[in-house]
Amino acid sequence: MEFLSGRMQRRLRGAPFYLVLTLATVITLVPIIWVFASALKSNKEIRENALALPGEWRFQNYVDAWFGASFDQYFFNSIFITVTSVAIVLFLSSLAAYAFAKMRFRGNQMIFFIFLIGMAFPLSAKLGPLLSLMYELKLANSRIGLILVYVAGSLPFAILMLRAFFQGFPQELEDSAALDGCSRFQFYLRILLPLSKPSLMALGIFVFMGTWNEFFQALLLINEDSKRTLPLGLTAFQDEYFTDFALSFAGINITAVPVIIVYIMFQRNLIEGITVGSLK
Amino acid sequence: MAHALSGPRKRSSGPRSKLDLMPYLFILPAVVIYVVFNLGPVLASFFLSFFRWDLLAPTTEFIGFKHYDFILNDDKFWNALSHNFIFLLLAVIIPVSMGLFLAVFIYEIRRGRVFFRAALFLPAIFSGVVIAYVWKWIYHPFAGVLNPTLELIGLGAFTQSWLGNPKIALYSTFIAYTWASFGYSMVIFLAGLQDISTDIFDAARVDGANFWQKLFWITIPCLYDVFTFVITLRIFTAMGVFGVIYILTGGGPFYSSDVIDIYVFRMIGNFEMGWATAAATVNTIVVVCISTGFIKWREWRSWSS
Amino acid sequence: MNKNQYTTLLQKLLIVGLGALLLGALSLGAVVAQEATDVLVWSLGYGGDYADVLVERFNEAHDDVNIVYEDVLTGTFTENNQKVRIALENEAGPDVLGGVDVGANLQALVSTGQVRDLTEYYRASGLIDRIPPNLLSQVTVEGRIYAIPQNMESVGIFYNKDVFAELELAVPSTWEEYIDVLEAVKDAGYYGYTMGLAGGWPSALMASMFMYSSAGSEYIDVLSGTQPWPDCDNCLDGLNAFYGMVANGYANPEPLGIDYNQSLDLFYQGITVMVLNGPWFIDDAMAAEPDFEIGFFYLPAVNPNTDIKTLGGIGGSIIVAEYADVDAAFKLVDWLTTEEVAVQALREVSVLPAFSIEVPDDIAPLSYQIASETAANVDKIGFWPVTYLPPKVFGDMNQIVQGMIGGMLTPEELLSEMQATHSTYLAEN
Repeated sequence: MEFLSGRMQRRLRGAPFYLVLTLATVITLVPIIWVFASALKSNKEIRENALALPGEWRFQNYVDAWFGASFDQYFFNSIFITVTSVAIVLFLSSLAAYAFAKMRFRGNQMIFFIFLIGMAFPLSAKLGPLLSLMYELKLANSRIGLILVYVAGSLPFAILMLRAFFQGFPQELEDSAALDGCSRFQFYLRILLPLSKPSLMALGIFVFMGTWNEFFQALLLINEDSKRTLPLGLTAFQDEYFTDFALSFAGINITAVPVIIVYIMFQRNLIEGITVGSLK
Repeated sequence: MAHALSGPRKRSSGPRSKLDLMPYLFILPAVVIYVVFNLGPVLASFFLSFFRWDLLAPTTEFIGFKHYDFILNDDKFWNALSHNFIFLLLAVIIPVSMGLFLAVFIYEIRRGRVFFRAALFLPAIFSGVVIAYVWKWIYHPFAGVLNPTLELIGLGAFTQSWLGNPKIALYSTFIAYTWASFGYSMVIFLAGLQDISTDIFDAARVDGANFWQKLFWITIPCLYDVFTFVITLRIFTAMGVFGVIYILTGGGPFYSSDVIDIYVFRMIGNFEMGWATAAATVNTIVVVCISTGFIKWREWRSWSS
Repeated sequence: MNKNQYTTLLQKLLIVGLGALLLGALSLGAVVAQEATDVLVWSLGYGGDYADVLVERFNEAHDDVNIVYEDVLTGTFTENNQKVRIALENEAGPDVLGGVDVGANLQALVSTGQVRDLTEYYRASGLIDRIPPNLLSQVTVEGRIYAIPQNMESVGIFYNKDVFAELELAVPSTWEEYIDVLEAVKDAGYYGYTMGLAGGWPSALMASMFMYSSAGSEYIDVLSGTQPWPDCDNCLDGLNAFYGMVANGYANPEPLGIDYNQSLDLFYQGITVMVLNGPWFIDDAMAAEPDFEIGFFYLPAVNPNTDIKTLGGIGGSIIVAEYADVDAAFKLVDWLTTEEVAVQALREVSVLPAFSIEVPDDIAPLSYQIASETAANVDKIGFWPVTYLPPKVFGDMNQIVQGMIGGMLTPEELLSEMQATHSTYLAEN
């Protein structure tokens, strides 16, 4: 192979990798593309040839799906619940992670471990008492209640991740801030948070995805249609419109599109959020 | 993970009289919400599993291990748990190895890394509900896309009643689960790979190591902690799988794809709270034992080697 | 981004977060704070858009009472029953609830004191004379009446008239004739019976229809736990008949691979020719716009000596929560039970009220046929059998029936499996 330039060799060496990766990507994306294509077909087209591309693009299916169910309401609920949860999680977990990472107090390790263990519980472990508790506190069937449950569920991972990140901060930074008369809360607000912006961003996107997609607890705690989140609304919608193939596909897409948009915008942050927490 | 578990560098010391309240104030809000809405219900679930309790009646009566007696003698419980174990075994093998290979491939190429990583990770961002409905359509016997595709590429013999055949329904749900989870392992492996010093790979290349040698002698040993984390994550998700199965099969046909969380959910739906909490407690113990056992084993192995 | 910009951003974020919280709290409070007496309704027993139409009509006609309507239905009906029970118990549920299952569900609601005793209301409003006694008995628990039957549903076979004409088939009136029709349909390359049992829930219901059709009130005894499953030979006959739909190739393929809704689509496409269903199906079928005409006949009894006439029963009932504002709630009930509203519902969504009305003959022919036949047989209308089964056992039955359809259990084994599940449950409770 002497006559091939080094560059050429490297290219050839990479070819099988590209081949496998391209194949894997095609297999991975085909279901998604198929669902999007099917949502633009008519019922007749879907039935007669599931594999064919839409003959004419029927965007009307989306309009029908949107108005056939209260997707605008589900959308608002999902946004409200998710954004509020993310804000609360970021605030509370950064406060706690700062204490765990940088402060000395009795029970530091113990309490941190108690948080960590929360990641190991299967969801079913808390459902019964949680349902009962939410009714006792008059928080069942309410968006606020769901937010609190989501925040509690996200805290262990968030604290784990931010603590690892804060531990990397040089102690001198805090010492010199203390010399300047900066209280610890001021240090947290003025110095620590601004410096951790990339991590907070990554964590925020990660929590956003998890909260936006959650289904099990919403199914248990939310009763009324006007309080349903998108995944929950989608199940109700599917129950009602399953025989209308195209509408059903459009409903799936309406639920999926917001996450895809967020993903395209913040892809790097999201992946960073996943990997920082796992590798640190 | 191992690093994350180690605490602050110095142990707390100093006079007890001068108790510093500030750290407690910092952690208080998080602790309150976590304890009330997450840890508390789990503990309550454990305690209530020893009582007769149905969510409605305010009275509770201590009955000891009666619920456990029922659960542990219920074939349906062991059936569901065994499916979790099948899921766990497959989840540790398939999505993890897929993630590893794809991560290595992406690492090896020069152009298009970001594209492939983003594209292959895409299914992992969807809600379990969306994933389940997408696959419900793919598997649809008359309007689905899988059977016609198999016929088109000459694998007509493999066309199946994917969700209706009790022998394969569980595996069909597992395929949907894999589709949505290998990307997760992949990005973590990829990040781990990028943390490995490139000198090692360069040295291996100079020594003439081929792809497989590099994989087994460098990549996999270097990713030791990453493997621990990725597999631990699979343990949690496989033992707690719910949404995909709930929508695809509801645990059927004839309990052939039943898993613990579906079993528990069905109990809650029927007000059998005692059985539900007992089953959930057993599951929690199993998950905690498997995951901590696994982590301890990995730590022990990395010290002893 | 410098520190100041960052703090401002943080402040903004906090304000947005707090604002969102406040907004949520306000929207929550808004339900409570309005002037007219609000009555929270979770279901009216009419599905989908028609409930909205009814609520709008009621609210237009009344100044003093305002209906706040929420759709809560999703998932299986055991899950829905559970949600309703917990919510009522915690006074976090609706004031008025329609579409309630009677049978075991109503008894459970009554036993925990969650629903209002309506006996006095029945007498005062004269409703007691308008509801047939056999329906009234189904909403009576220990001599007191707790629910108002809304509609009567008779279940039967909807069939593709075009295919029947093409094959020159007559409507069958006995089980033997019905089997002949199925054979003829099968020979012509169609499927005679529509079956979609994926996901579980229709399985127990469908199998029960056949057992009920064969064993009649004996099957109700079995469901109530007073007679063992394997001892009911008539049940076995019914089960064999149901299993025969699959075993003899009458049913569409993949009954376990498609769910109930997906199976209906096979009927709309003309692949299957008959479907066992209730009157709510008329509207769904119209919406699906099949290119053939649909007819209806009662499923001939598997056992001609059975003591029931029609399959089906009370479609749903109205209950009033114990904590509800009674005057406001009764205004809604008064209105819903007026003949005018009932006839309008029959005309618009083919729902036949449970109290006697004159069936108007200017409605769609299929609706007219079912409504008039049901109305004529009102004194013989039976029960929804599965409502007599404890939810846990019902859930198991769905899976067990799937096991039989999948060929893992014989009908005899199904009965002993049901006996094992049922008796374990009864022993534990």
